[in-house]
Amino acid sequence: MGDDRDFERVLGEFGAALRRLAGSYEPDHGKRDDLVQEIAIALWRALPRFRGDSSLKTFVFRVAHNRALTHVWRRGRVQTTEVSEADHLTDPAESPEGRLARGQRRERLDAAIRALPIVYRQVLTLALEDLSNAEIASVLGIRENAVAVRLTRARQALRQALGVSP
Amino acid sequence: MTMKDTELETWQALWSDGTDDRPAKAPDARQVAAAGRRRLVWRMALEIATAVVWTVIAVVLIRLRPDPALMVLGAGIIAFVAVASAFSVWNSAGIWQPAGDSVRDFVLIAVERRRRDLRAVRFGLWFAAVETILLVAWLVWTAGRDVLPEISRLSNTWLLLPAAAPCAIVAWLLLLRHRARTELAMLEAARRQLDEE
Repeated sequence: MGDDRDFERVLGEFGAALRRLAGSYEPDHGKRDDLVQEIAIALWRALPRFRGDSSLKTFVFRVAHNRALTHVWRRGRVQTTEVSEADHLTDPAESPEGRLARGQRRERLDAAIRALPIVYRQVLTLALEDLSNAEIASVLGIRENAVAVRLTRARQALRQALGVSP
Repeated sequence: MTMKDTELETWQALWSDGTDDRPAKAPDARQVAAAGRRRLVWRMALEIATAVVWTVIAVVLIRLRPDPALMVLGAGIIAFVAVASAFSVWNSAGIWQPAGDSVRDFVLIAVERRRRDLRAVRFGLWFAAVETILLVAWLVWTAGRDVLPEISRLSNTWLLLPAAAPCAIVAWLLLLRHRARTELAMLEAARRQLDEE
């Protein structure tokens, strides 16, 4: 893999997921776009090395997480976004006010995820992208049971941050 | 399906809700990637050019006049260039590629790179100190003799440059050390977290 059409296809297929991932590392919308670009560059460089040993999805997420970590560390800070006291996540309202509330809940989820320690944030965002524990283990280079342990703790921490009872 | 799966599905739905589905801009990515490669090439070229310039200066000094003081100065410069180049090659060996593609491999290589940065800073500070001491020793040895009339004819502004340059280099090294230590502390914390389970 590695020609321009493959690259375009990867960016098309994973564009939304990469934006969500960038959002879990970078709260500033402008800088988030920069991070998506950095990830795209890293993918462009990495794709020729893809030999199909793992799935394309795990390969893309591995490269993206590595790039996002560099972005965070280069800035020399850990994200500590405050989670506001808005209503919690299970309200299904769909009126204009409901849509606004849904947007707020989405923002609140993003902020709560960004406030988690990086190792929890990684397993959780990958789980939210519907990766299996085996795939998450492959992305992060850890054992599958370690993923399970970390994911349980991450979910617990997220519930706590969102003020949702288990 | 368990309650926890329902909870995850709720989060997944909210997580994917309203995301911008446009693909990332590939042409921009390629332009920036090309700029990144150019920067890397320029940095390497600068290192090589600096070594070449100092070697040429040393050879010119040695061949200028049959004066032992100039021979010593020229040989000293060549020795310093050789030591610095050898250190640069040794210090950057084995950190170009991570052992694998996982986040863990990435963290490990990033930790190693920051450690090498700190080692380079330590080397740079010692190098600057030894260089200054030897240069002062050479100036004391040649005091009273106009060994390099070509330089002593220059204006004071030009003569200030050799004094200002090491100060600027030391300040830059200290800034690099601060950055590398900050990054290393965060990377070590991440590595400890990865080693937890």
